[in-house]
Amino acid sequence: MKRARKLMALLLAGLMVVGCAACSTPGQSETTAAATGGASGETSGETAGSGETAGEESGGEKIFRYSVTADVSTLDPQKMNDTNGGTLGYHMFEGLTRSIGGEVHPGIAESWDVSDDGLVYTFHLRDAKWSDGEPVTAEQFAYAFRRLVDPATASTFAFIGKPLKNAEEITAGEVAVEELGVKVIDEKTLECTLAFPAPYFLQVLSMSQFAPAREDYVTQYGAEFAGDGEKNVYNGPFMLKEWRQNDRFILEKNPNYWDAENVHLDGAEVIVVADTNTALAMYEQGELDYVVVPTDLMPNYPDAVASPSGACDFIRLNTGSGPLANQNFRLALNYGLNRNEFVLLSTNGYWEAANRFVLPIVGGVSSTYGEEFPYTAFPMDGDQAKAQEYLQAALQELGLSDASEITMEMLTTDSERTKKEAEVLQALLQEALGININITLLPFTERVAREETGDFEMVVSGILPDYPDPISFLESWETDSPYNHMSYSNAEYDALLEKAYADGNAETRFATLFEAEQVLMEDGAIVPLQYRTDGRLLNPAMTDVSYYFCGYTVNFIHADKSV
Amino acid sequence: MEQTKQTAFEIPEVPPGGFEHVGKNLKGMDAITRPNLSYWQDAWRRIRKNRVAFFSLMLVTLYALLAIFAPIFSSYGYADVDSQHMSELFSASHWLGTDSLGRDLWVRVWRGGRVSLSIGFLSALLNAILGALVGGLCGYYGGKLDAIVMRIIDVLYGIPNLIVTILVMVVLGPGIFSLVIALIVVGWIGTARFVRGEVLRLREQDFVAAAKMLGVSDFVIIVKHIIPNIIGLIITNLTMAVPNAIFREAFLSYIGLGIAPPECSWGILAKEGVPLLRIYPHQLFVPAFFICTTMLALNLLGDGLRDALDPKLRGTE
Amino acid sequence: MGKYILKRVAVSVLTLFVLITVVFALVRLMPGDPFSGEKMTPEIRANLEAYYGLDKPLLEQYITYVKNLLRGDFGYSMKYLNRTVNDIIASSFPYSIDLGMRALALSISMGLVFGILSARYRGKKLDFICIVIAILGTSIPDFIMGALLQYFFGIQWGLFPVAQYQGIQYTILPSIALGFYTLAMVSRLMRASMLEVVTQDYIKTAKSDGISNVRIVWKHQIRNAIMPVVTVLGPVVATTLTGTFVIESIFAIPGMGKFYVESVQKLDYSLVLGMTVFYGGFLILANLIVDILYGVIDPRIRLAGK
Repeated sequence: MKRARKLMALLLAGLMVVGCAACSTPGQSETTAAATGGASGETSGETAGSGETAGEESGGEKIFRYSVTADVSTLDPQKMNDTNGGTLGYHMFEGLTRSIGGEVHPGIAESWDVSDDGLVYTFHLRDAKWSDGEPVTAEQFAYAFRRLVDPATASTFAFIGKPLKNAEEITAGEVAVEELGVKVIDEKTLECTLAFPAPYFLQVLSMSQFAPAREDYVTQYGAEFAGDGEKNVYNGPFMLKEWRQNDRFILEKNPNYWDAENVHLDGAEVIVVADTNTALAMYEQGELDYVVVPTDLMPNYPDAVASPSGACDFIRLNTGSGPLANQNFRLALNYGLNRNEFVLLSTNGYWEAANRFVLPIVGGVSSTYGEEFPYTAFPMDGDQAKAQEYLQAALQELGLSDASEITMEMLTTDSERTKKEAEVLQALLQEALGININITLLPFTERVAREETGDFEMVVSGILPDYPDPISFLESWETDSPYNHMSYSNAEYDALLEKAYADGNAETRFATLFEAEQVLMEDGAIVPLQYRTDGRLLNPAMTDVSYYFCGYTVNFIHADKSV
Repeated sequence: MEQTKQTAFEIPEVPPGGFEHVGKNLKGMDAITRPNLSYWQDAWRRIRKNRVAFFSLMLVTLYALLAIFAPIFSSYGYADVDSQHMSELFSASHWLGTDSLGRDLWVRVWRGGRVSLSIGFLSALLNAILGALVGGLCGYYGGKLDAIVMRIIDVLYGIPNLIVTILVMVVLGPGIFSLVIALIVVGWIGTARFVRGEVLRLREQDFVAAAKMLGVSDFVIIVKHIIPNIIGLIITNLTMAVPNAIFREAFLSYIGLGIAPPECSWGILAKEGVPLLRIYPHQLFVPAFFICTTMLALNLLGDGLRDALDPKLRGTE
Repeated sequence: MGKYILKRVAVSVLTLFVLITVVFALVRLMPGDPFSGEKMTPEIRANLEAYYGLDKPLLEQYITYVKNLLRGDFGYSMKYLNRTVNDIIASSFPYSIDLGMRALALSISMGLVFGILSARYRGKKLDFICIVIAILGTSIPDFIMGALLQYFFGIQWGLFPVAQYQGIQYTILPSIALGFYTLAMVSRLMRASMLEVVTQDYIKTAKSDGISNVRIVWKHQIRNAIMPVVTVLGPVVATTLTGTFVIESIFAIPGMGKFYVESVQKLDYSLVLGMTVFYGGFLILANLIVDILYGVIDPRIRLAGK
């Protein structure tokens, strides 16, 4: 018995060790936060408070908090290359224009003139200031545009500068940077010369890649430019106070923003939460103001606001070789797939089945493209009779006696969602056509690498438009497009696209683009699958928050929060 | 204590003629009263007497049999999606319900069991053999061999498992075989280090020194003295390596390097169930139940084996 | 002893160097490259390769890398464009070490206590309880454990914050989730080892010498039984401290594990290399310490340095 007591004492001692380990560490944890906080020690204390409970920001602070699933690659405006960064950039910087819900509004440019041939744009800048009080000038825009396409910058988004004259040649290193079609008339006037009349030019100017840049900061910080709050200046409604890697972004209202009186929030906190279920739980505990509900859980959140995320998923077919080079076989796949069944299984029918390639809600002549050019390329429920017809024709042409002799490899990204989609596609296509499909899961970079090198048969892929225009989707299938990884080549299609590029007239241009889309579909070049939809929950205390699928996901510039 | 000692010396009086001289029983002295059991026979006898361990063994065997036969005798295929029966609870037609694609969970659990159990056992066993061999030799002989191998091991150890595993998986392609290889490439090192430490310790023990002095060969010392002394620990370690391998397989699937869908494993099933914990908890709890009970059984079995195989506990109950 | 330690340190440095070389080669063998993207033109790719010096011969790249490394410079990340690898490690490591220390403190101390109790009361109720805890720990995968803890203690009962890492109450669930497996392992190993020691002759001798029970347990049993546990601790400490991807992603903790897996998936050459060297150095150091500890605990092991 004595022994037992001694051992109980031992156990207690052990417990105390743990207790002490726990009680001595809060200090350490604070220093951790301070250490990672870097220069701005005060903000780390402030956020520790705000994270604790929603009510604690009672100091009148109106902070909009939301989560992103991954840290952003960079906040250097010219190098930005992901949607999360795009949304942050949208709030930190302001380009010549500001696209709100697909509509172009004046940004730093108060007004602009366009030449009759649609090739020369003259922008008149307003009196705007950077967060450090310096004026925003035309020269800073010209510098930024050149920086974007300059090979020395090595921006992955250099391609977005394509409409500007000489941009592609400069990026390829064939022409000097100074030759870019951008000219500073005076401090407040900027002239842009285009390579072709791109009606979406005003749209892309709203993107961060076209935001002005300050040469003094770029030179001072070199490769670390924009690496943290104090390593850049901002001319948008908010400024970056702190960027804690893989943890959070802390935005503060920019008092020097030209329209600061219409910005009601004191700031924003963007928290990196990889697990969408965790993010939802945080929203429910009041730690976030806005969250996207995981599609799996949508049945439980009927009041979530659904809006498209802009992404269009499709199966990329390698039309270069094998059975997929056969048009009848490709059409058999397209007719054999029951798309309604597909979205029902993979997303409870929550995402929208797609039977055309271009996202219907992108801009058209005067309303949306989908309304102006309605199209049903393939029946949503599939058409098994037609599918068999095409399949038999294909088998004959390929010299095969049975569909089971065909085995395809289907690549997809290794996320839970894409895996599930691939499993559904495999089951549905195998059953409909009697072919065999093997799934290979790959990390995103590797999957894309195999697409680039043409080392694939089928890939479940997705496309997110860079600007709300059909061309953002269609340009990928031109024969010599660097994004055309499937050796798809159709002279008729190429000719239609060339015609559209040169066309300054909106009506004929869109009609041509629609014609091109039809050619693509009738060729069975790809298998369109679905348009992704996000179910969004917003803290009822928030007002004037809006969503869009292009350029930003959530817009809180003019939002307000009742505290 | 004092009292009992005293009573031990108090010899009761014996009446004369109370005892009878029986003489020496020479034959009886040589008679074997207990059957001569080999080491393994004795171990088997003891494991059967240990009810918990025996039950665990039966459970694992049952799972293995079900994993082999259940998918064959079910009317559902493990990859048959069904939009009419998504995420259903337990019913007469779907004993364990269905997953979010309407696939029968009973079939998928056992289909996954095949993968998980074979990966777990194969890789743990191969790890233990390879690790014990290398670790044992290094620990026993020491010297240059030990120094060289330990440096190699240090280097291998320093290379994060993830990279090695990913490379092996990429080279060999997805599948059970490549998973096992990938798990062995990094897995044996732990066992080797552990066994080496044990052997290093045993080598210094008096009974080994005594055996050496008597001129017993190294081989006999290893087989008769070292191995029986560490086999218990190796087996305890092995039972832990099985869940480890199963977990690691799940982790690899987590980052997309496991087996190709629609094939599944318990780890994959559980992982698919985690996001649905709030609305369809059965999709997590069903695979989790099988993972846990298997691990439980393996651990208890390991404990039983440890006792059964410990030479110092031989003949005791 | 001093000489031995010196020799071990020299060998460890050599090991680290070999590690760097091997990993440098391995990373480049992996399929794909860091610049693969949906919209990558050959021109842009060429610009990027020039920017990061990947257009130079591999050997030259290697020499440059090692030279920079000697100055303690891991270079710039290729995924996080404006951050150096040093910066990323410096910002993520404190989280991992904090979480890891808590998990370790919890798991080792409780694990040892459970193991000892379990062995002392073999076959009794206490043993049974300890075994059940140990088995639960080894039988639930960490991602299920983390998800369950988060769901019940965070979402359902609201006892602890659901995620993030901003104060003492935030650390409890992830520490338990991270440490539970180690706790179970330590307690099982300790139990097995204790049972082994109890039957040793020197314990019997000590008993017959009339040495008090407490003294036997402390001085002889635990000290000897702890040996196998110490051997596994080196790697366990290192893996726990460098953070686990699963726990960090479930609880949204910006630690190193998350960066590591991400960098491997994104093929961020410099980040993979930098973190591997850092992690490898950590493991080598941990092993070195274990080896030295081994000598301290068991003086009978004649260290080879003589």
